[in-house]
Amino acid sequence: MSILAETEQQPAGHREDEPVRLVLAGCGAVTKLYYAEALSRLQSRGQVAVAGIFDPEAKQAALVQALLPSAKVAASFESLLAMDAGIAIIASPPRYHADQSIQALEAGMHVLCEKPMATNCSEADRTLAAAAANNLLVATGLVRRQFPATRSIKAMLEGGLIGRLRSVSCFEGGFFQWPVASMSYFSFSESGGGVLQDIGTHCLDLLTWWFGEPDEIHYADDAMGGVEANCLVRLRFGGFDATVRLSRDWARPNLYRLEGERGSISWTVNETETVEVALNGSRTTGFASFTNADGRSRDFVDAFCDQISGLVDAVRNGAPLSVPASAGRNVLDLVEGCYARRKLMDMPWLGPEELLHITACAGIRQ
Amino acid sequence: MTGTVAVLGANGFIGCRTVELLQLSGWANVRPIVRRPDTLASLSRFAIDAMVADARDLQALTAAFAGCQYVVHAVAGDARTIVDAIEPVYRAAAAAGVLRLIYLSSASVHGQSPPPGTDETSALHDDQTIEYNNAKVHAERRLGQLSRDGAVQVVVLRPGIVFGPRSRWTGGFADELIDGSAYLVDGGRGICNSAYVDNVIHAIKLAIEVPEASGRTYLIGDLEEISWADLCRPIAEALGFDLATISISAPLSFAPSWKQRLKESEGYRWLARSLPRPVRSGLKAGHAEWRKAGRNATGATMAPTVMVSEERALLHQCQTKLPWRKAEHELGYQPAVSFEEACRRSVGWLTFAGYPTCGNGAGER
Repeated sequence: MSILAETEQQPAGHREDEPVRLVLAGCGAVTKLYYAEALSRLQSRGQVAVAGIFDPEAKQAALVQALLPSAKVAASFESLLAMDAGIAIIASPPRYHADQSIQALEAGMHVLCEKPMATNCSEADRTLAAAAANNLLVATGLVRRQFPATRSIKAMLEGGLIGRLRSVSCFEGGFFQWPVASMSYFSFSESGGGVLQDIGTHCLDLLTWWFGEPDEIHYADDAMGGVEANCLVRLRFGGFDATVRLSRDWARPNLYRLEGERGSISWTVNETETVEVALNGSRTTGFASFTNADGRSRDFVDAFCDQISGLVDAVRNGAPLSVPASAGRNVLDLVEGCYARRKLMDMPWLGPEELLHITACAGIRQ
Repeated sequence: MTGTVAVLGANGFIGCRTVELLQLSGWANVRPIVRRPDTLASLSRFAIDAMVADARDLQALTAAFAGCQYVVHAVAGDARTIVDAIEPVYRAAAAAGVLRLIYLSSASVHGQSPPPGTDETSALHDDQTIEYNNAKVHAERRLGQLSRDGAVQVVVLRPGIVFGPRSRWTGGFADELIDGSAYLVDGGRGICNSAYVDNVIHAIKLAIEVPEASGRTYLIGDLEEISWADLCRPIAEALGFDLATISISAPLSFAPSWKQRLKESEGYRWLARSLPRPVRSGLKAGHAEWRKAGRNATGATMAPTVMVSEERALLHQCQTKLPWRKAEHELGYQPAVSFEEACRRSVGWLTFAGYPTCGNGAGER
């Protein structure tokens, strides 16, 4: 596997003052909620031009076209790739990510693939190989890395603000409310897993970005023939443990808490600019707001803008990708590592009769 | 194996546990039916034959009930949904050839604080101050009218305060303790007509199995007579709270607060549905921080003003233990899980769900 394709400067395919033309595959929830608005903002700034969009359901494509009127609706994915564009955004359901990314690369387009970049590592490797073979870039949509808040946490950790870490705890989730189009979303074959593969991808990516690769992985979930709605991950990083609890069925405060020997950092999930910092010996807890280097305030959609702009900048100017596909591949590897070590969570409300059957149910994957 | 049981409203607290228990015990084939695909997230833990159908959509329901011998109607919702769903559910069950429909009504049809001597024969009133109670009364009456045609056998269950994992009385009360909005009127000395969720499901199974149950209505409850303080104490202790600190006197009136009025308004509901999840999360987090900041500023352990609902005030002052003798005599119902065990399991779920319980070690089997 080579990551040459992620860093090598690419020849600019368009004049510097022209917007970069791109196409988008997948007009589901993530596109309607975020990509369409982000692309609309970037179009209005003259940075990109959306040449075409595609979704197998014409009604979904029409809804997105209403948000991006200049885009043509392609009748098929192949027709989309035949359009004059330099970048393809892949925002289809996860099981299409690898194949569509590879097809786009083979059609000569750079790719931004929504997370997860594939449903398993071998698919991710095929994508990276296709990128290398075609000398093109692949970025992965781990959008939280664009937040000033998460970037600032990384900087604070690297600067030793709270000293050596003692523990990390993360809770994420609540009642699942993502507007999925069908029940097939909740199948291993469609999504590659449950809550771990979904929001866990973001969470584990942040942890490995901040702390590096874990030394130990312990994992348990509540899947009993289907995909997990709850999971518990314990990762050992050098001298401290990180505990991750993810849920699709009950809300607790969505909070990451990093305890160090000199203080603590708390981050509310999806808060783009603010973190809470408490230093030992100080009576004050600070809510600190951060911006990126350009000083502009950023909302959640801006983070999508930034990840698209990042790829445009890499394509045009050879800038390094802020979230290369290798990051997407690494987090897939960690997710697979969790599933490989899978145990059943303790569910103390189950009765004796249920417990007799539970092991048999838990061993089957849908 | 009993056949195929459709659980309508399978994403709700009782429906979800019904599917889980029936599936894991192998008692029946289970078909969860939900209104939207996203609400299947929790039930997708199982390899299960689920369907999507709105409880008011006769055609979709008929298709969803196909091949099912039994339907458990556990749809929650506002008063209008409760009433409007009755006819389509009954007619769809008839069209699909369902043998028996188990309707989960509520002991609330007798009010939150029923008079002594109340049982299944007591007259029902639809002029109660709590809209939910009237809706359940109307739903039962409508079902009674429809079932006169004999197309589908109907059994109505009236459980009391159904508690357990994922319930408002367990997880919801834990949240209230943590955010400072928990209260017990008069120390929670009133009788709580508790019904642990597994006991309700035990009654559902009997209502399916016992031929003589057809056309009957049953109150369902736990074995023990307990108070509201008894119900809340294990949760408070698990989280390190003292119940004495949340006792308040009964309020004299129940004019809805601006916050309640806002929450019940159409505009608020539309906004809550429309905002993207990150925005909702952010607002919720901001509100929590605001509350926390307020508490820190005053140094108090509770929010300065607690909103007492009429429903809770009546419940907490209840003096009547509702009987389940009829279910005992006709169905052979005996609560399968003791109150003590029910509390142990509920607290166990709190630990699982990530609450800061005293013994939190949410671990692996």
